[in-house]
Amino acid sequence: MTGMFTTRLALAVVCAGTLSLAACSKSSPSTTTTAASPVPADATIVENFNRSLPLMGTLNYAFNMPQYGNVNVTLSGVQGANLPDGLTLNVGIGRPTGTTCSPSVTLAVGPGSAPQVTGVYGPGIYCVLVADVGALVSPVQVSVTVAHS
Amino acid sequence: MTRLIFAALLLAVGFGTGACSKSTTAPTTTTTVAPSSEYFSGTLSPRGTQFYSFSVATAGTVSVTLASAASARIGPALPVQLSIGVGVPSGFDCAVSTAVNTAPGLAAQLTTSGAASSIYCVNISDPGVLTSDTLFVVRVSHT
Repeated sequence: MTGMFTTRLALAVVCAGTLSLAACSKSSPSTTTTAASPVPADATIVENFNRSLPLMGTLNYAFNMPQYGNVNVTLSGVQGANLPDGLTLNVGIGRPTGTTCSPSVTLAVGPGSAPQVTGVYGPGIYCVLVADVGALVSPVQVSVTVAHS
Repeated sequence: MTRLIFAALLLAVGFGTGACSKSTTAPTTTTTVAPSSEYFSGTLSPRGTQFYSFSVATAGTVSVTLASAASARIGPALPVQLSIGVGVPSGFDCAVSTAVNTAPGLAAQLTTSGAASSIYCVNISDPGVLTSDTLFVVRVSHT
């Protein structure tokens, strides 16, 4: 009699504890969440500059990106005397650092009407770098368009 | 006997419930970022302007010190009042939001608090007191 009672008591305790633990476990529904890919905003803000670029010189132009989006840089014109055939200048996009612009991308490009250097960037302050790396024989006037979001 | 069974069940339920309760008291942590210093030096022409860009990684205070102004690397300091300012790079310039005219000194002459994480610039310019090229050193302290 005592043995049967002890067995039933133990069984009851185990059941109650198990039920109690099961009741507090949180069962979350199985859901699959896919983070939406942000779409870069169009480059609708347009800034232009026209400056003299000395031999082996560098131009740094800073601009503010209010939102995540596209940046399109166009070296639209290079004017000066004795321009070499197939002239290219280094054009880059980067961050202002110290007294310079530290580009994350740089390409040797010639003047044209279509953007030569493009990228997608988050909000913040960036810069465009235009540099002569030895192609010029005299100072030139460069025209650049920076389109950004 | 019934009371004994009831007591045992209460104990078991209490144990089970207690085992699954989670303590959600997060530890309190305070992170203090020590400011770092950058030095901007160069030559300022009469009526000239120069600027230096720096990146604030953690929101905090920016302190600017015009540490020295001299006509030569070796020689006495010039007791001139130059303009130093803080702003953001814009185009080919530093768009200054706050500035002060000050003589060189050891303590920061310009302090701005609440600078958010971003890129800023410190600007130095001659308000019209220089008569020749002047060497300068500016210290920028920021988080």
